[in-house]
Amino acid sequence: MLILNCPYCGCYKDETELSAGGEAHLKRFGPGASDAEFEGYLFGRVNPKGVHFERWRCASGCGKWFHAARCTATLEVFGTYKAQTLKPPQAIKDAISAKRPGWTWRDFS
Amino acid sequence: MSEREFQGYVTIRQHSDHSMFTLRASLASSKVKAALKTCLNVAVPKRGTYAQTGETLLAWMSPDELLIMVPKDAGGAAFAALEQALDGLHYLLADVSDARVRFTIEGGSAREVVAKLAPMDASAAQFGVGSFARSRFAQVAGAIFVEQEDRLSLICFRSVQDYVFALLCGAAKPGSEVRAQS
Ligand SMILES: [Zn+2]
Repeated sequence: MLILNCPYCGCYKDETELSAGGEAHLKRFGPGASDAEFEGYLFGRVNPKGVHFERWRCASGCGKWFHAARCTATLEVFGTYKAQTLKPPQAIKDAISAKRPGWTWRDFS
Repeated sequence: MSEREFQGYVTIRQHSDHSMFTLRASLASSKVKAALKTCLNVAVPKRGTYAQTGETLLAWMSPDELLIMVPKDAGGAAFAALEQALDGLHYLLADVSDARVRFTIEGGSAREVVAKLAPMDASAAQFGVGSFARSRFAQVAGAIFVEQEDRLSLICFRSVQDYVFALLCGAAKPGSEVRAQS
């Protein structure tokens, strides 16, 4: 069972109180983009064993979307953060580095 | 007024003595805070709590949403006053009285009954008097707040009131106590 701290509510929410929103930090490609970029935006998803960044919605709580950094192999949660950002905050990256030195995920490390 | 009641190892009661409004607006805005203070004489509650003056309650639903509860006979006037005070600000105010119901759970084991139904931490250490939270009660969404150590209120959609009443009665059934009474 996954338990995440909603950064808006400021308390722990059970997986069954949340909605999963898939991979975080996707860059949208729309009108004017190449076919390859648009295809990547629609369908290209990483599926790592290890460090991963996801979107979750506090469905039974405040209703807000937030981000979570966690390990897909162990279910360890490194941290959660508000969605109004294009990249993980430094504190989250530091928390991951402490547990998984040398980690990379897409363009982040 | 109590609509129905069940006497288990805690007491379940349904109430319909409040009007309920949903307000969507920035709760950080000083103008919004001032409008609420002027109309209702209640301060905007902090995250995860509710605030109360007399029988009027403001509950924190999200960073931009409040649940407002006022006594039913004062509901119409309060709604009109709020609309006037918020005029010109970015807000949405809706009377949701007909969409919600409220139950109280009273007794020394009221927290235990909540803990049976919701995945939230309902312990006194994490969810003390004055706390307010939205969670899931078995299959449906609801909100819960602690008025006193032995009195909790649950708010849910009216469309699922029979389901929630049955849930609460089942959880409060004599003989289903998890912990011995102290
Ligand atoms: Zn939340």
